[in-house]
Amino acid sequence: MRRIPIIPLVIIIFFSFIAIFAPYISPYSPYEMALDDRLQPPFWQAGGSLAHPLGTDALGRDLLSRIIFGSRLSLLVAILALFLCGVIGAGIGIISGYLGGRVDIVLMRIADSTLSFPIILFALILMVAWGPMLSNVIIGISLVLWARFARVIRGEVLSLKEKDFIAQARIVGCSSVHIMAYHIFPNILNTLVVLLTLQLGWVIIVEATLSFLGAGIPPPEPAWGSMTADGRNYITTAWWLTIIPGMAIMLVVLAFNLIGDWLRDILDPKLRQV
Amino acid sequence: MTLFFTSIVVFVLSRASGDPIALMVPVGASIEEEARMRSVLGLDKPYTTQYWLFISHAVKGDFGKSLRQRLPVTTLIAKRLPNSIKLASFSMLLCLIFTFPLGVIAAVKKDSGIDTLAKIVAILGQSMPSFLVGILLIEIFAVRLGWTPSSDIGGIDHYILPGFNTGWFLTAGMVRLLRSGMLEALDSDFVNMARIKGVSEMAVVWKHALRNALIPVFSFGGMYFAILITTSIVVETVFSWPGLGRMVYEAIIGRDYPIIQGVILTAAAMIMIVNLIIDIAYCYIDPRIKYGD
Repeated sequence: MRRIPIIPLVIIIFFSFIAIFAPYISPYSPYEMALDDRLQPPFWQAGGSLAHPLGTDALGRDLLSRIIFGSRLSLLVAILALFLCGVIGAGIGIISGYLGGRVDIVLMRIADSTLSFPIILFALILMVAWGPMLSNVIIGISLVLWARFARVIRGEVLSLKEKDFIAQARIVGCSSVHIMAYHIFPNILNTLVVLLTLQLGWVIIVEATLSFLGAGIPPPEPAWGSMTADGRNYITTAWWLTIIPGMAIMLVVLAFNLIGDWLRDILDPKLRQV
Repeated sequence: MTLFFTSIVVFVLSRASGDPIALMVPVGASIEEEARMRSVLGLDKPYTTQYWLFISHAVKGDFGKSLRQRLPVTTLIAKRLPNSIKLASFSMLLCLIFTFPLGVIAAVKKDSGIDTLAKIVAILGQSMPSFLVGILLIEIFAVRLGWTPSSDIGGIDHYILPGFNTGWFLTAGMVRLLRSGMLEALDSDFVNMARIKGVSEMAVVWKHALRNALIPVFSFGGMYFAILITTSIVVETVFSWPGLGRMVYEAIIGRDYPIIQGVILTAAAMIMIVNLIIDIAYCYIDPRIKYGD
């Protein structure tokens, strides 16, 4: 077994921790404005203080608190969206692969049309159409990403179908549903888990990009993407408003990507091309 | 078939994005004026009629007029498309320039400094959101160092930063694929055969192994053509680049249906053409793949 990548794991645990315990460890509320303390620099720069360790934004909101609460948003969106993707994608992949025939053809056609669609464009339209709400972001992302899961899982199922134990189950008289649920599904879990971890980073980036473009979770919610966008106005004078949220995004995505790669190498190296 | 399906999706979605009239009429306009504007723009007809009009014109290449600018969509697209293509091509070029040396040498000298560099480039490129890269590039090279301009289109120096922005993302994926493809190819039987035959190592690497490693890279490149169009929205926004991406973004915000529909259909059509070209090219690159049945 390859070495567990310690640093990415630590990063993920760290961010999960602060996401879960945000209300307890955050020094301020992320919405609390203090107009006397606008645009304070982080504590290691001149003019900064430990009262606001990462500085404040244009409305005097503490950046550290916003980053902490922002982690909640990013992780929540990522986990829920991927959960949906996983359920839909695996479900359709298994059904399509196992049943074959017309069902397969129709389902895969639909999947393919979604695949060639530029993701962010699609998500953008959905967001503008349905309104920038948390639930819409999650649904939007899942609608766009499920096809990738379905395709890969279907491939797995196709090769699993030919195995002996499936034939034996059929001979014994198991129904298709039973086979799909109890025999096929546990065997594709490996691939599913790897896919999920690999896509986690991507989903976080998509959410951040949507927020950056103004089509994600609306203000005053502390989404890292919109924080980066807002910070652009002050980049020459208050670089920390853009760089720090941006770095947060990068760190989390990096950690998830590295873990995903490691998991893939252990569980399912066939997926190397994904 | 897929194009047809896409057109329906696009039509439904654009209309679902809200009422453009609400955004266009001045505040306090009366109901009659709203209704008049609606009928002028043809938005008061039932949806099925609207869709039929859209499709029947689209097939002839007429996407209608932009709701906001009253100019034919095709003209608007024609003005912006070349800009996007120029940027995309430049990014692709940069990507290729960096991918090939990095990917091949990283595989040949596995675990060396170059290999580590390749891995870092790849993982960073896939982990950093493109807007962050763009902002950093602008801040470092345009503002602090003053080497290049930071926005808009112009001479080649305007292409550099946005090109690197998109290019890095592309390179990241390609380098990984090329590296793993090369690793596999270099290990394979036919490469060993070539070595036994006495073929020079240079030729083995660059001629024999590379050709086989290229296949997934090739399909990745084609697939990423679609992603390019997506990423271009972000990059064009960050760099104020007058391309298709930004136009679509503004159209979506402004609920300018004809533009949205026109651009997406054009994009989808282009993607399909590219995929077709790649599929055909496959037959020539790898004679093992046969399409007869």
